[in-house]
Amino acid sequence: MNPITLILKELGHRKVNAVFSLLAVAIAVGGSIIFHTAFAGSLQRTKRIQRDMGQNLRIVSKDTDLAHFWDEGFSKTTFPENWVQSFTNINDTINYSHLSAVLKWKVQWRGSPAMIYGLAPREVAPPGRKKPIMITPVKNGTVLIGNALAEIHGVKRDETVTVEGGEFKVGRVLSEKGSGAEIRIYMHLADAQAVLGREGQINEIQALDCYCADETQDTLALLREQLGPILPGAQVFRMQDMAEAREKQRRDIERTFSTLMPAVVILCGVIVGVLAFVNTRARRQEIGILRALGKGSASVAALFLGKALLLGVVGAVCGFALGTGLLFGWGNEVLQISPKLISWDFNNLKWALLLAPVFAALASFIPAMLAVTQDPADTLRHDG
Amino acid sequence: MIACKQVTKRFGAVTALAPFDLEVASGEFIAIKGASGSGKTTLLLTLGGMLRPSDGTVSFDGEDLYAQPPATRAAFRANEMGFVFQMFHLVPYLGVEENVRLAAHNGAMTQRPRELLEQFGLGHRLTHTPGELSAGERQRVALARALVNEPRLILADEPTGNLDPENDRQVFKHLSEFHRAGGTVIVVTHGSTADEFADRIVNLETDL
Repeated sequence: MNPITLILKELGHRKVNAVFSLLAVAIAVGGSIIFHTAFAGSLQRTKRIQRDMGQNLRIVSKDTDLAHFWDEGFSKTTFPENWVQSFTNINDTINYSHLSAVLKWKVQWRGSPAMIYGLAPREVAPPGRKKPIMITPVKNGTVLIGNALAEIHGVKRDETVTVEGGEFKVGRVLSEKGSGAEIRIYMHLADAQAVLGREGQINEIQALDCYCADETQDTLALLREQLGPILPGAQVFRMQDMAEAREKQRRDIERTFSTLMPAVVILCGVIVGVLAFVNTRARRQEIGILRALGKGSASVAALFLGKALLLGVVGAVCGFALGTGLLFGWGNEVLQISPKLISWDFNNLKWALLLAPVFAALASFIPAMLAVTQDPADTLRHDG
Repeated sequence: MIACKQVTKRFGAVTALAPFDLEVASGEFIAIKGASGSGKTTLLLTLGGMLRPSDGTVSFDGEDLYAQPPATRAAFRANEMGFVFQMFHLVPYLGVEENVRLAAHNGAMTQRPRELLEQFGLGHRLTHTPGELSAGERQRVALARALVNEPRLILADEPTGNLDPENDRQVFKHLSEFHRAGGTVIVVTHGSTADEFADRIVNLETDL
């Protein structure tokens, strides 16, 4: 008799066991999909927060007057703009990413101190670290004005203003930041270089340290060690508070999900295993008679592992529907996952169909082996 | 055909089967009798290659059964033997015909399961599950299952222990038909119906 028929008939006969086993596999699959998506959502939110916080590394010339730099917020020593390109010609893996060339200079604007902030329109990515752009580029001929500065001078959007002799359209007045950004005038790097008479020059490279170092490593020492061979004439500072907050947030999220998800999967695996064990106990006589009929170990194992594989396949489909359905229903509202991340992602189904049968078979492995090694005579001797 | 020499089975400190000798020729109908706990079932399972004796040997056609690997013994059971048990041991979720086909070689292709069931008066019960049958019907299904591969030997353990006299007699009649067709039967029983059909009666207690 075809083993599949036998498995299907047995599933139909012991419905409660089958339904609970299926539920356990479906919960494991659905839970994994929910956790995976929630994790992606959390990472996305974290990245967004971090992006709003800005880059946390400042690379300036070695000749910078640091007292002036920390007091005024910019370096008076400039260096060629193309220094930033040095990060693209390296072979080693480095911890720098989102590199952008900046020229910033403190000026008096309409009688108030203001910081001209020239931003390169593109970020530079070291090999293998190409990521979505973090900075907000500013169009040529436009400026973005800090909130306090705009308030003081009554500047509105779309107005034309003069900055250091150059005329610019106000693209936007920034929202209140409660930081140095209140008196900044953001513009395209080329515009800043032109109005400040420093063509081809910058005085800072801003970057983000990648989240690669472990907690025990001295990240700043590592960053300085890596910078030496790339830009011997530069030095790097790390905005420690910002960097540590970022690292902590990221690690907390990873720790939470890396604990929760395996816990749910393991729990479901244990349930599947226990149910398989209960099933094996209930089928002792059946196994005994199969043995008496001359069915070998492989045939008996095939019945139990085949059942697990079948439950895995059906559980994968149910779990995919359950997990994705729950995400559609409550993912955004309860887990605050961006709706863009919630979809019928058939990649998830593909992985579920590959992994869930293996998961169910592994969970049922010990009970299946118990069934195989069960002494048929022991059951049949205690007839009835 | 089948012989056991000084076969003993112990479970820990308990001796389930004291040293026992038996030789059964091809085509014989043997009834083994004995009180409860005398080791009848143990002996039958030992003869069937399912329970390795603690001491002694079991040979089939001159070959030591337990010198063979488990897979060979399983194949031997599938090809040469049919088992019938007191509690029928039918698979509860399969229909009558499916229970018989479960044992059949190339079961899906042959008509033999159905022919046997019709011969045993179960033609109208083919799709019924064991739970829907009477005890006598269940034992006839078990008997059909034991015969489906045309074995040379039937080992029956108290096959009528749960049956009324009429069914008791009917089961023995079917065993007797198999025997008359050249088959060998070893039946463990404590009833008296076997006396009428068996060529030889072996008492497990007195013949030790």
